[in-house]
Amino acid sequence: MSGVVAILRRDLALSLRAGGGVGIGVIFFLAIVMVMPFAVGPDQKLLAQIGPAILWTGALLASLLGLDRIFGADAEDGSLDLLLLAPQPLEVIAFTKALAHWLATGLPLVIATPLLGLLLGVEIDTLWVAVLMLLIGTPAIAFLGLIGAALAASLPRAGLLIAVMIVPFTIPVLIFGTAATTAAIAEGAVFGTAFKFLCALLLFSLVIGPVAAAAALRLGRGS
Amino acid sequence: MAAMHFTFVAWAYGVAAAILLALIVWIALDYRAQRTRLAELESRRGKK
Amino acid sequence: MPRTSRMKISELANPNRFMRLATRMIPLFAALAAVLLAYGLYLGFNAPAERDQGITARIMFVHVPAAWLALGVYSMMAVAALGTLVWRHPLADVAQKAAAPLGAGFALICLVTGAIWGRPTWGTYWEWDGRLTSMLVLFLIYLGIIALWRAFEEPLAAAKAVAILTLVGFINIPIVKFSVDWWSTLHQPASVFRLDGPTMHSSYLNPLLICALGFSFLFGAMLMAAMRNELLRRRVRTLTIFAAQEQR
Repeated sequence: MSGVVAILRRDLALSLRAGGGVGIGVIFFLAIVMVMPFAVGPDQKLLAQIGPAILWTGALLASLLGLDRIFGADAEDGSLDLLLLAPQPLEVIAFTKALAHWLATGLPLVIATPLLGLLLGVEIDTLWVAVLMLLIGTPAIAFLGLIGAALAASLPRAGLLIAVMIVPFTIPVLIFGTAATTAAIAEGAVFGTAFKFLCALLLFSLVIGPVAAAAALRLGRGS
Repeated sequence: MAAMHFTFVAWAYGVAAAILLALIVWIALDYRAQRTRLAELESRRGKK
Repeated sequence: MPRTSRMKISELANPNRFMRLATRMIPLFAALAAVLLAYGLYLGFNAPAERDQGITARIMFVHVPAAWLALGVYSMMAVAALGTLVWRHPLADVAQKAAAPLGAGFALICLVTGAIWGRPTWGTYWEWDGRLTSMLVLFLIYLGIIALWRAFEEPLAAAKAVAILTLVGFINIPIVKFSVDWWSTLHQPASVFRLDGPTMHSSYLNPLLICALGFSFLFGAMLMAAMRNELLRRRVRTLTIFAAQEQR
């Protein structure tokens, strides 16, 4: 257990250091949210209507592009080989690394959401729902992304490749997440269904992510 | 009306045929390239 | 979809034997494909015109088989992925790699013919209808797999990673399909216009099935040819490495 905590602390410490990538994800999120009104036009009503969608898209893209950080540094300096030899099950290690990654990069996105939502003129009530839904959705994206990160662990500069591989699998999260966010106030029945499936996707990703990632890491180094 | 719609059908089959043809041509050219390269390499090894 | 080469899988484990078999089977499969497609299209174009769609419904004879093949090829890749990871069949990863661009091609054909069919039917080239959208996502998954193949220097290292990605994709495809269907009914409460018509009359069904069979044999021929190319490519790579080492 202490080994797992050690990994968690180490990864978080590395992320918080300079060049660790905590800030840049949020900045990218801000950039996406800022750019949309330029593209769409300053129509307040329209922006407020598509606001939740912009927030979700921004959070998704910002999450996807940071995924190579999960194993990138470890692969470069050889820590990955050490992790493979560790006594803890590789699945648990992978889970921990995904958790650390989400805490460092995903959670800040969720925290930034209310401020960015105000830029888009999204209503306060909807914003709180958005925060909650993103709190469920961003870890789902991170744990699905874990698979891509593990598959590309030995490849340099794999950021875009991982994003391209994982995007299709995050579409259900996007669908149910945005639906839950927009329907929470007005359409209770839709919200119920969407919320259920969003939670189901999170649970699914918490299991399949580490399992597939561990398999990928083993096969990647074993050959 | 029917004539206009025939254009769509023609385009659909045309594009499908084009994509399949592209795949077949790529496979055929790749085959030739690999065979040539292989012959090159094997003759060089044979000369040693 | 019948592919006789699969029935002798253990005998085919030897690449050389596969190459010899492929040389014989490729023309056979191609010929069968040509005959079936010619016959199927002949039947299809002579079937009575549908009341609602008229002649454009004939697009289904290429659109629907393409959809079936796009999905079928992915399933085949998933089985091959298991072959690579679990049963360690030596030709499994070659089959996987060869199939990916072919499956992507069929997905693309499905999308483009669907869009062209949609123009006179819906008025626009693209509708975010549940089935076409799911096919678009499948196309993206194919592209991701092809990208991963190309990201590795060594094909055998790539094979294992791609196998896992393929299997993860296989598990996720029903989830994506379900969520896309849900999403499309959410945003289009009216019933979605089904591209292949409300019911299939046998005068359309038979040509459709014959064409599907023809396209399957075409895929089989292309697959064996592409696998042959991949085996040759690997031989070239090995010899190139030997040659480079000998020159030192």
